Amino acid sequence: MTGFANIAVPPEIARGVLRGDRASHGHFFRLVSPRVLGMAWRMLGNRMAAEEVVQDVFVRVIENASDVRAVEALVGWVRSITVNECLMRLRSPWHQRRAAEEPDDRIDDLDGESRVAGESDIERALTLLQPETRMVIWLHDVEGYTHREIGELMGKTASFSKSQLARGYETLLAHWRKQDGKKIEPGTLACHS
Amino acid sequence: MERKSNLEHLLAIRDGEPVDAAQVAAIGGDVQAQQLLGELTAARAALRQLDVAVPPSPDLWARIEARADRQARSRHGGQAARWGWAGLAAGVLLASGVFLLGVPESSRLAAPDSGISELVARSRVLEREILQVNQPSGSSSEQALMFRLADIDAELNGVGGDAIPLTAARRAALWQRRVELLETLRALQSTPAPQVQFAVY
Repeated sequence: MTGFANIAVPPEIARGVLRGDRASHGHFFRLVSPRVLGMAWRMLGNRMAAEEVVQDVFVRVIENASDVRAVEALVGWVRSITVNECLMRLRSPWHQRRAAEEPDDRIDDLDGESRVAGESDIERALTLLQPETRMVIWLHDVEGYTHREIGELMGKTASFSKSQLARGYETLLAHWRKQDGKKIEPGTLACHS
Repeated sequence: MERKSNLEHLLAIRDGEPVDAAQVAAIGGDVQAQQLLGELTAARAALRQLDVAVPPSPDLWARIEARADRQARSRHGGQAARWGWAGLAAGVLLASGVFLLGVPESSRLAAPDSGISELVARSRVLEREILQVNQPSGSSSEQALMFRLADIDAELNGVGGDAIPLTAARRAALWQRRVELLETLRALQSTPAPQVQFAVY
């Protein structure tokens, strides 16, 4: 299991959140916010923007969680708010300008996070992607969204999601292979026989 | 016969999506395609290893509670109360077309580092541009944006008994968000409503 599917929220906490109990909100925040922040940071490439997303998401939790019908739906609801908040920021002119001008903050700069061999290469490669492409890859391959769901989220088609996924992997693999000394130029990864 | 097996097809095979049987069979005899398929699978596994939980700033929950409380009070006290500290009522503001956001000059000038100064300057430019719009729509999206701006200005000004001292990073984040919201508001005012995609806060 990856992404938000990893989050285990005790049912009594989830019930408390749906009831509007402030202590439960606090427990829920401690359990879920690190995932919200991790995902938002990965999508936006900027910690400050990601913390703003966390703030907006949890204000919505406090104000609107009582509208969620079942405790089982709570984490999925939070995930969908997070994705929407990230998308909204990606579309903002300010974010587009920042993304064009500044390098991303990298999560692997964090102290104390466990890293595995080769991971920082792919982390670096991720930062090379266009934000929208990175978001498609993350939603599809880590969060388990389908192409149809991603297309709907972005106001586009499933085909758009598929092509963005392929484009993203082309960049990721090219970068990865380059690290191994096997230079692959963009556009050469399609195989012919 | 030439066969092209591109990344989209390989990704579909990797992900167990419906693909043409002939394509799957063809890849079975294509060493290069099989190698690429293996790399795509390995890359996905590496991506999933990047799925980290990142602890938020220690004071973030307190800020969220403070903001939620502020918003709840303004709902109970009516919308005008939300703007009260700034001396403006949202209805008047929307009806009159006067856009005066509530960040006092002292706060605007208290921008110790160049990053914030740039954001403050950008805010001013955007406010001037928004002021030139003679007929604000008064739409719910526009109102929601203004209320979020009012929340940000309240936090920048330390309004309310629950105000938490701002760190430099938080102040920068708030100014950054303020610019984003003003840019969205300007886009909303200058674009026909059906063409604007906007999520209400």
